[in-house]
Amino acid sequence: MEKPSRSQSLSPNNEDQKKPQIPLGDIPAGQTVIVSQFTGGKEFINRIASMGFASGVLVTVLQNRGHGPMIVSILGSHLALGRHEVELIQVHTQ
Amino acid sequence: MNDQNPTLTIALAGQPNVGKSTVYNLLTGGSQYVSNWPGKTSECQTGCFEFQGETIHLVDLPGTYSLSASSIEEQIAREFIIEKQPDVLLVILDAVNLERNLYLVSELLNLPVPLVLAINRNDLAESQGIHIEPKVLEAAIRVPVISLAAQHGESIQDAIQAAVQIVHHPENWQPDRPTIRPDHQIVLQAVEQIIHNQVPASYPPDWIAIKLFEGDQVITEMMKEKLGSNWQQVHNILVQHDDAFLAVVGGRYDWIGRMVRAAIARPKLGKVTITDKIDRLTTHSVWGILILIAVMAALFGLTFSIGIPVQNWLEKNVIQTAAAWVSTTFVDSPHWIVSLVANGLISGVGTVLTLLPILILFFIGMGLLEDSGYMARAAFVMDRWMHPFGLHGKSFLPLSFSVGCNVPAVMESRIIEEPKARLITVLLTPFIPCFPRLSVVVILAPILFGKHAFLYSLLLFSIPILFLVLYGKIFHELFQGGKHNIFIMELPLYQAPQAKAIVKSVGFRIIDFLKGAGSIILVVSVGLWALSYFPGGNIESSYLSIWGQRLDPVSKVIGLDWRMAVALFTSMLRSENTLSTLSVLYGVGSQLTLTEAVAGQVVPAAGLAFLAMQILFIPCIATVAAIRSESKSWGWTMAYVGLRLVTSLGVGTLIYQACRLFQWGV
Repeated sequence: MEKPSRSQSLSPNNEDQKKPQIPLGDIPAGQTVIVSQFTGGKEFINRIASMGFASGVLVTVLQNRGHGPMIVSILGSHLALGRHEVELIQVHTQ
Repeated sequence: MNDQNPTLTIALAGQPNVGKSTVYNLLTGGSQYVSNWPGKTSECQTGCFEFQGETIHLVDLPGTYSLSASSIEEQIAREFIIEKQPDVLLVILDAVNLERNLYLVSELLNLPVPLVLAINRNDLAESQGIHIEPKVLEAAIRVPVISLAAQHGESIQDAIQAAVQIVHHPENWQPDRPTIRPDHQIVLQAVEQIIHNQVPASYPPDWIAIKLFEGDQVITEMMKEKLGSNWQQVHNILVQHDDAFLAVVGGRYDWIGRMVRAAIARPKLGKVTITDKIDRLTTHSVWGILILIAVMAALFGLTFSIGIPVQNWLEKNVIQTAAAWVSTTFVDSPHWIVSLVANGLISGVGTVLTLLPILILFFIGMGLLEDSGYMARAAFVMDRWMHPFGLHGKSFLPLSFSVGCNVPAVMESRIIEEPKARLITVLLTPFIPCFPRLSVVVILAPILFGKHAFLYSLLLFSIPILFLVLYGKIFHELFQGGKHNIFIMELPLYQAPQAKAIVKSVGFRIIDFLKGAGSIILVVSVGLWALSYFPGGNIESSYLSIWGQRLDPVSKVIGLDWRMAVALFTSMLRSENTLSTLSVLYGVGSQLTLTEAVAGQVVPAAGLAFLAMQILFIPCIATVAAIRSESKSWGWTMAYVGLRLVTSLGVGTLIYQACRLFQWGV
């Protein structure tokens, strides 16, 4: 039986950070990307960090209409994020 | 906490939706409700139980994602832990998203209270292919880890046993704590050094230092005050190392990564769950809105088809019967006492009592929406439509409930975490006119405007919406400096609503309403009764009418007949009162119907101004009382009442004078 992969890395990897950064809001539904960094205030970063957003974490976009809020899956839970918020989260491809 | 007798205090901590309340209910026999909406337990519930000869106080802390001060729940939780210092924290973790749950643990470990971790919903995680090894996690963090199935009551005793053990053997408490990333350790120490002697007793200095890096407003203010002139030193370091807090957050996730590395295995690809399938419909841009409309229609339909008949029945058979009984039984007592009891007290109690059926039905509806998990989807679908008001998706539900009744709607503003955004929603919600106010328009418009009634009704309904947008923008600028409200919300897994949980949630909300609003309603009812009774003994010769007539020249400018002004004020008792007061004052009775009276004595211009005023006027006292109990401030409540009064009279004057200018309907 194939063994499931061990937990994904939660810490950033220097190599990954050289890849081009894209705002999470630009990622179409169905794609899985890696969180790399955030812009925005401390309050915002505190909030999203406590909801699972940290550099190196895998995030799958479940719904993105290009406007309005979007839905992502991160660390086992589904989150709704406002359009303003997803523009502040930078991601890169795997 | 208490050394004389064997009493222990265990506090339950955890993120929202992890089954914390279920654990609490199982242990204490349940005086708390379960909720599937983030952050519902906004005050700590406390219960007691016996465990191996010891009395255990169990405190249920509000569910929080972290311990920052960004929400009221988080402030309550962390202040309790630091200031009340429970003997041990039992942290409930959700197996399905363990890493994120450990973020809260990474914060709790820096507080001086030992922890026991209990992993809940393992069965669900296994069904999704997530495999967790509690013993491996325990070895890594060096904190007792118990695997739990709270829904079935298994192994909760083991968790309590572990908690009691750790209290009796504090020497065993040596957890692996998260640290700030190495590149910022020196800076952290520098800050610690400065603040070390100035930190309030129960607060650990390293925790305070970390919170300062995080930019935590509450802690920053506290330390500014404590440090006085030394604050500048700390401030300089903080400004120089603005990025330090990324090292704090990063340090936590580094720690989580280390802890779970060997303890959890996830499938490469997430399985499509039932929740995913339902979400495809409920969050769809077209279907989602249609489903929401259907759900709201069902909720309103039920409320009105059951609630209003019950309300009328209570009014007729309980309130009026009681009032009539008082009037006939105590004929010999002074008339004013009989009237005080019959029209003041009984009417006040009646306001509360007749509101109950509507409230209970609404709260059942909310309980169902919350407990099933649907409410978060409704907020998601409506998010983009709420931005013009300076609000986001979560404010939609309070606003939409308003049409049914402002009272539960104002109470429902609690779902918004951020205190200022919550206050804005509390203040904006009652701008949506409730059904009884709308019905005044619906009934009077045909009398006043004939075949154009529909058009004028639409015009009238759009006025409060206009002010909702306008004041939404103003409040947003005023309270938050136009700052964007962060919209991030968990979409919990769907679950079948549990009847027991809903009954409890309804009970809690009703008690909340009675406690917060009941006495205010009674006092104001008696006050308004006095104004409409003395000195003459009836409304026609009361202070209200006397003042109304004396102000007649002034109210003529607004276009208000004094009888209409009095009707506006009595609508504060109950929104339904407007029409009955008008009937009394216009002498409706044997010779005259309300239609004839209004048609004969009110010109369309004055009627239009009056209807606009009544739709914008001060909300009923039950709503005002709810605003007071949710905002926890008489200042805001009275300012709001003033704002509504000025807005209402202002708009009325404007409409009336414009009509006169254009010679319309005068």
